[in-house]
Amino acid sequence: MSDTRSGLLVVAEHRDGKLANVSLESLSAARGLVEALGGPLSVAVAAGSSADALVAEAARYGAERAYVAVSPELETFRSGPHTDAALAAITAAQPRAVLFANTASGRDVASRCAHRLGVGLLGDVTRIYWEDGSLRVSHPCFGGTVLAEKEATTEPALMTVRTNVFDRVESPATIETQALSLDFTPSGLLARVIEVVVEDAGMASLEEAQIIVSGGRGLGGPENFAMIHELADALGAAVGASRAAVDAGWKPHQYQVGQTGKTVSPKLYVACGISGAIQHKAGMQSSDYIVAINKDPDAPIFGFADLGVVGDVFTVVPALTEAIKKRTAAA
Amino acid sequence: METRELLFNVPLWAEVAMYVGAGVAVLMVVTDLVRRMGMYRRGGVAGSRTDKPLTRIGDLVVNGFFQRDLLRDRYAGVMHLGIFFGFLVLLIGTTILIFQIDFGLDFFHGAFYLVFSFFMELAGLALLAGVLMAAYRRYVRRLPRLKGGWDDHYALVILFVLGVTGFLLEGARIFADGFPSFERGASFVGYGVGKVLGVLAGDDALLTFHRWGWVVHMALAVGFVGLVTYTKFLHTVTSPANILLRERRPTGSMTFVPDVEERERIGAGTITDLPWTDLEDLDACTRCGRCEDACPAFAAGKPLNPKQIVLKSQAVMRARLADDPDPAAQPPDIFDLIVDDEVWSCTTCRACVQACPVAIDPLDKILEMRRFLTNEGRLSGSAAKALESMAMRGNPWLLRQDDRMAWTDGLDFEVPVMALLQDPDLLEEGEEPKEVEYLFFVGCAGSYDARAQTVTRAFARLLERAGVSYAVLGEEETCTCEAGRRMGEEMLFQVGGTALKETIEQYRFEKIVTACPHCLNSLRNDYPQLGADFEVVHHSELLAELLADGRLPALPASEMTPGGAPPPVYHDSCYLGRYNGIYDAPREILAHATGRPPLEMEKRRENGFCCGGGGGHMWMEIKIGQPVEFLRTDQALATGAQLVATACPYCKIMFDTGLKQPELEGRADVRDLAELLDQAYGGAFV
Repeated sequence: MSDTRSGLLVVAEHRDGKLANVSLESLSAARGLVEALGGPLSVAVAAGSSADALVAEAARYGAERAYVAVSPELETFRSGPHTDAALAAITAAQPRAVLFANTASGRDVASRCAHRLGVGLLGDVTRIYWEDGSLRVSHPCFGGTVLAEKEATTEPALMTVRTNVFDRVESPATIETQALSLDFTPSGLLARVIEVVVEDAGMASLEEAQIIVSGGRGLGGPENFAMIHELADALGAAVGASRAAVDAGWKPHQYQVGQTGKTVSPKLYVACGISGAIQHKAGMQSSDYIVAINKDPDAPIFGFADLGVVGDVFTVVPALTEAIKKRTAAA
Repeated sequence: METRELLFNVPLWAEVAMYVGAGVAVLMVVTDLVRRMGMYRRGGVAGSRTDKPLTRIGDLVVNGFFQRDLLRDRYAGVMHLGIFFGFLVLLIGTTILIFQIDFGLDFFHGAFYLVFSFFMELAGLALLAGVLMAAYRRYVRRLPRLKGGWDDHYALVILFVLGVTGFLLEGARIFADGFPSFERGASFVGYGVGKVLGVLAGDDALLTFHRWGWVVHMALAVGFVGLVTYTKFLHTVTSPANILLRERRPTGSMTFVPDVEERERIGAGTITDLPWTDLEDLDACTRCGRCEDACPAFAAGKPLNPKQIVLKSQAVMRARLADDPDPAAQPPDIFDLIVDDEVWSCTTCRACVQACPVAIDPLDKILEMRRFLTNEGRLSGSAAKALESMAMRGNPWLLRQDDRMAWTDGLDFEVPVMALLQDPDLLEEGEEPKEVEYLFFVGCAGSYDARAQTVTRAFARLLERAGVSYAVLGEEETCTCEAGRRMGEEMLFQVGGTALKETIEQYRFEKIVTACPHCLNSLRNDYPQLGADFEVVHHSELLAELLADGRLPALPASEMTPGGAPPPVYHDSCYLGRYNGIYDAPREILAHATGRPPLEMEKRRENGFCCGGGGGHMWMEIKIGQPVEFLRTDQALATGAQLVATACPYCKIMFDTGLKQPELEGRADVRDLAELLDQAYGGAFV
């Protein structure tokens, strides 16, 4: 146990001037821990230009120190420069543990940092706790059938935090910012970002969505996706589609959820008119809560849905949308 | 006396030129062939070229000589027989004259001469007829698969010119001979031509015409021979050579990769990675395009064209493996010409292999290229997920191992499980292990997919009804990793396969029976490479046996045929049919179950059209063109059927997808033959 290390550091991800949900969730989880652990909660922000708004947002979720790296080289994500920035923050902050996001970029930077620091990395963490004088984490294996409890034996303990697991809790704090001076490793600067292609800006990213409403063959035609969109809007959800709907041309391929489409793990998945063959299941089975609406009581989806509604989608979905709108208006 | 003067009217210099020219021509052919063999040798290791000598020679005779595979397309077969035998007889006929001219033998007279000359006439006519038939197809009907280049045109032109000049010269000679009466019958074409020529020109003119005509004909013939290996006629050597000497691999399997865990690279990333046998067969291709016509992916508009796979590989081979490659030039390699999607579009259906009349195997090359791509991580995310799932979960769908017996829900009998019957740790006190006759290998589709689970239940009910001694592996069953192997993940196959083999080998049984042709093919044809020795049968084979020996009772005819509805149309599964030669047993079952033989599609049996599910396509979508299953669904519905009968869970799932298209709502259903048979016995479709 190190005497010089204290507190926790969250290496934040951000997009369009806002911190990613998973970073807010990590800050919230770390805030709770830091009460018991002692030491400051710090956030590391790497940005292309001003990071003030991001730092302010981090402060709202409990960060007391911000280690900020600002450089044009950090404008779009590249493994090299972002790793350099994270390492600079870790060196400056000297935390007991560092929380990264379990996203592609988060994993990329976390594993490089682990290697450079010669420490271990705990992946896809869903619970962090302090027990018997050491920092422990849980993470699910084999599709959630096994929960592994792990303990960090090196410091700092690096971990990647699973998205959509921890709650976001605001606990405003006053934050002190430290600017990091960076020495980028030349080899890391060799990759250039030539173009950033934004996919269907109008559609919220399915893979990050907390709630998804999907439509399938049972809708009967493309025009009936309108009611799916209405329900999604009422819930603040993203819209998905089964392969049958995409094959029929009712929705483009970006909307497809399933084994040859996107894999999603929202908190809530509402499947409308989807039979639930294993090829679709493979894309959404790790959803926290699955609601299925289908007029066929023998549809396979009822075998694994948490709530099944046997009924006509054309009756149930609009009624559901109505009820939600009433609830939201009243609240 | 019946004969003719050999080399009549031919000046000495021309005769000398002929011998010299012929010598040079033969030398050119031989040296180029030797160079090419050097090129093929730069390929990788392959198996024996001389094993099974009788089969090889038999194939050469039946296929290479008597053109069996070409005759599948009757018109093309006859056309090529004309050209082939016509030219061969003319060539032999001309060459044996050396023995008369230079070796002092004296046979070229009398009856021999008459017969000889007559057959040469027929040969010449056959050649010209063949060439005209070919020209008609290429230039009048313009078949798309025959789209060609300069050497396709050259081929027809040179043969035509040689044939026509041959007859013209004969005519001039017979004219000069004064039309001997015996030539009227023996050289009837030449006789007629001579008569026409005689009308058109006088003696001297015709003699001059004959002399110079001979020189031209000789020059063309010698040139033709010398250029054989530089033109389309290379195939006259390489195609029979390929039929005779290619490596004969067991149908249905892939080459085994030893020490796969130690190798940095597997498969074909560069041309020299292909085994020599795959390089050699590239030179046998005549661009006939039968493979292109047979390919379901090509028909569906996917980037794949097996002919292009062969021709592009051929171009790479010739550019990179030439003796003195220009160091400044950057010759292209495989993946400079072949795009990843071409390789991934393949459903591994073997139609291209089946179609090729000269035994070229485009599929094998595609599978080697897949191994390379997968090892490099160049495969779609969904495919990678399926592979990961096979490795970690023992099934391709990220589902739970302990759900493997979920299909038994709703059965009114207990399905026997091997471990419970034979594992000493699980037996009761004093209970003896119970041996069974059949291990019923359910497979991942049959265990997990609702559409295939009904098939598993139906077959289990039939086994119970027939009193067959069987058991399943239950929750111990894992994926054969067959699809993984065909997606190029060899290590997954070897590791996963060995694990499954060891699970199976714990138990005592006589045969394995499975309803899935992919599992069948792998356990039967891939697993021996892992040291397994299983006898595997398809459920249709077992059911046919049970019906034949009465263990499944005959069905009273009157109960079966539902009034008015047509019989189901049977779809041949590629892995059952082309891979394992099983075509009849499923049809027998259907005939028993429905009282009538099934409807047949035009593309059936060895010419069956793939459902689109093989080669990992359950887990990949190439979003170009149409889904292959939509095409096959249309073909099935075109027969007027209201029910599609399948013998494979992938086929059933693919047809289910195809029939679910909104515009086809309610047109037809799909059922496995086991379900139909079970239904006929009164089992409900559950």
